[in-house]
Amino acid sequence: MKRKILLNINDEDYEVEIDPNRLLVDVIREDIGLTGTKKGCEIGVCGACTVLMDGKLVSSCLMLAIYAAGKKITTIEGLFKNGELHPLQKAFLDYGSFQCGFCTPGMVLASKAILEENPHPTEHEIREGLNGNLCRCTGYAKVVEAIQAVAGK
Amino acid sequence: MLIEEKFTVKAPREKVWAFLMNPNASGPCVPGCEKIEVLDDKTYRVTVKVKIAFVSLAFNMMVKISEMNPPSHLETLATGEESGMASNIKAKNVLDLISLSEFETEVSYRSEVSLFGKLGTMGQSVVKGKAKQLGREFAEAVRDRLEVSA
Amino acid sequence: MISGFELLEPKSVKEACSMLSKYGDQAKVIAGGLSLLLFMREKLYRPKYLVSIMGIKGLDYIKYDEKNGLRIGALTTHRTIENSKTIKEKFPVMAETFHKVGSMRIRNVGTIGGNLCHADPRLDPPPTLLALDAKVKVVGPKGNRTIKLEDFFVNYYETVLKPDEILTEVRVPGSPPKTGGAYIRFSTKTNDDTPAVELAAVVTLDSKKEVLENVKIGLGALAPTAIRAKKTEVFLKGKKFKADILEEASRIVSQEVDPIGDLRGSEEYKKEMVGVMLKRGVKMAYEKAGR
Repeated sequence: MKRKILLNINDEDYEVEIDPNRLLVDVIREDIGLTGTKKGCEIGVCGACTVLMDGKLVSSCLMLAIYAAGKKITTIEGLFKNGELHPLQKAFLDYGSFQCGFCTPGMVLASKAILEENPHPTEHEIREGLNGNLCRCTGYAKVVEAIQAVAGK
Repeated sequence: MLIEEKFTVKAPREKVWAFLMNPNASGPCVPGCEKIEVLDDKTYRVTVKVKIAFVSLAFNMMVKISEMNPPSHLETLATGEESGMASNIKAKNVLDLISLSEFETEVSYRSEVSLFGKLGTMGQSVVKGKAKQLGREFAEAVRDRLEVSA
Repeated sequence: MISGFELLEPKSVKEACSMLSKYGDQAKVIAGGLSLLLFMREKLYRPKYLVSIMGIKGLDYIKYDEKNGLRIGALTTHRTIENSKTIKEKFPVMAETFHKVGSMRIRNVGTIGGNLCHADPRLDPPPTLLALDAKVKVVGPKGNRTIKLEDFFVNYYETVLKPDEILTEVRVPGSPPKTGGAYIRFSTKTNDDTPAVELAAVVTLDSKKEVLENVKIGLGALAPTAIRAKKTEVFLKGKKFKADILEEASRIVSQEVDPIGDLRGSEEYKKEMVGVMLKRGVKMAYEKAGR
């Protein structure tokens, strides 16, 4: 039986009517049209579907959309505010920290979470923080550099 | 994956062979075996239900005898599917009976099992672990039926 | 696509239990949902009703006192546990273990109750909790019971929980002085992959810090459930910490397990590796106990 829920995504409220079996990643992409969040492995391992829920990183591919009702969700699109890219997005561009770009939204959100918890992480701490985000293109080196650059400022 | 087990039965080899080769007798010893249909003297259709906690799997198999050397050696090929999980299973099985004495037989079997589909990617170790447990139940059931208390 | 279901959201444990009673084997408890949704997406399981306990208040807590030891509510996330000051101080091996669960995304959502009830023998928390003599509190329509964790697990994905029961709390007794613990997760592929061998060692020393007064070893990924290595524990208990004792103990633990050979290692390899991890684990626990 469909249910009406209110999702707060990137500071905007969206009312959707959905079945309980809908996953958050699908509602974000299909019902709301924010396709920055990607579907990679669909089993919570690769990190492409990463979103922030009340400031915490979660896998939207393993989250019932209903569970997100009443919570503050941030997708990659939410980092672009008032016509300005987030410092991490700028750094990823400056350092060339992506190639195909598929893992990138999740990678940027994970980077944000690392710096929020630890504003001056060591390289080891950065790499540990990124261990849930898989990238097949870059070898991670440029991602680490971008994060270090933002941390250094 | 390879499943290899052996167990002893206190019964003469001929009796064990006859028992195992009679699907109506030995079928019920296979845990979860719901149906055995004899299609011809070398082919059987078998349905086996396996429960892993709250997960129910139903295997529909065709078993063909490829080599037979009574009363000691049997080779079969089992192919089939687990429809709920879109998975296929293929097993090459070898059964050997060795007379340990006049009244004691060692039953040893070796199965090379290939799992394709979801069950193959997700469940290998669990299916194998479960198969070992079911193998023990099978051995117990065979012993119960064949060992005559003096 | 996950098959359709009705999501029920009880506001109390009592309400949840009565829903489970009502719908029987058509219903299943869902907490964070990580493991369950995985099963459902792979079409392994299609329950008609999911009873979500996430709306039940009062199940997310970490309490500690000298008398009762540690009590953790079933809905406490792995992340809360790994970051808990109390747990880092009183049971550091637990904080280390929970830090190793999945990735940060998993730890932010997954709960200790869900982890134990899922009962996959390859999960990280059970070996450590077994080595810490954990117990679980289970509530059902007919009342409560407290079960030792080593009696809780039955088989792959199977526990002693009745269909209308809910795990509400995990209890860990206080550790005596001069106790140290170590958790090793040995993975043969990548760091975050399902491990081939899991070993938790909790060691209590005598006042001279020479004798292993008490030893508890929890093992994972080596049997249909997480287990305690009882024979190895009996051997080590009361002995002085020496190299030849560790060697013998590693032989005993190798014999004590009956692992399945699979992609992550053959039977022989896992048997050998659990021996290696035993030596490392007991040594690390011994060193921590001595500090």
